[in-house]
Amino acid sequence: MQTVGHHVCLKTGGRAKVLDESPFLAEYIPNNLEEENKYQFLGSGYYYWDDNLNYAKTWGKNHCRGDFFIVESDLNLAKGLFLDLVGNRGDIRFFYNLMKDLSSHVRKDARTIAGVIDIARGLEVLAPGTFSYKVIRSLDYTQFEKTDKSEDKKAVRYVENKFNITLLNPRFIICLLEKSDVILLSKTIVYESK
Amino acid sequence: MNSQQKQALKLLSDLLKNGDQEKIKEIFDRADNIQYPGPTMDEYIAGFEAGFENVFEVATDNLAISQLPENVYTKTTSFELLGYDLTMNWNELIKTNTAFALAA
Repeated sequence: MQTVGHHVCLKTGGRAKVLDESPFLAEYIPNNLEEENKYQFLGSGYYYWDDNLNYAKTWGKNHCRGDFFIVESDLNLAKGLFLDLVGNRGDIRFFYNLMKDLSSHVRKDARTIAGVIDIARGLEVLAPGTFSYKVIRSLDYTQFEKTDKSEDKKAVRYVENKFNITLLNPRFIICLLEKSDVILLSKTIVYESK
Repeated sequence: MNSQQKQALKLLSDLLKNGDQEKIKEIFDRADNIQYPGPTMDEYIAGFEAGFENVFEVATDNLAISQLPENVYTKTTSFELLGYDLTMNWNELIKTNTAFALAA
């Protein structure tokens, strides 16, 4: 399947350099001895918001001191390379089982999504085939959003007489574990903060 | 799960049982925060249910919020604003919030 990704990055170096070198790596280093720990939701990788220019702008304002570009890319989420924790129940079950297996080994501390992905990528080096994905997609959601009444976040009920809900403006994170021409098909700067 | 994923889990199981345990431990140690491991999965779930999202990155069973190290992402200000006692630890906070929820 294909989608459009929005990558937020600082303006450092200007338009041409950003267009040439983006996407930029976000590192996951939870035990950083030299400086502050670095946390990324899906581990180290190249991050996009899935088809979400509006939220990319909000994120840029909050994380890039308002000085950022948004690079839009066509992304090819190719079968076999793509772990879809949003829309593929088989992939979600696989990840759940992976997490359970890792948690029961060595110490009981493989308990975050980022931690599991990082461990699985490390184990892939020891035993190729255990985690051979190159791109991961997941839902970003917080407990507080359950009751958020803002128009763009609020949950919608399926029918009037039940409390079951769904989200019509969810945030999906896409993380490329490595830069790949198979996945990353195009790049265009579609927004520049003022 | 597809056949590739079933095979991957089998490979993983074999690796964890029969692989180089030193190397495996190194990988685990690198990926998880050893010094401040945060709450367990059960505590996460309890935290979600109690609405304490902000303490996920910082809570430990025995450490008061006010005692958390500076380099940890604490967001203690939110707790101050909410009027919580910063000498309470994670478990006490959950109990307190659950008590509030029950009272409401």
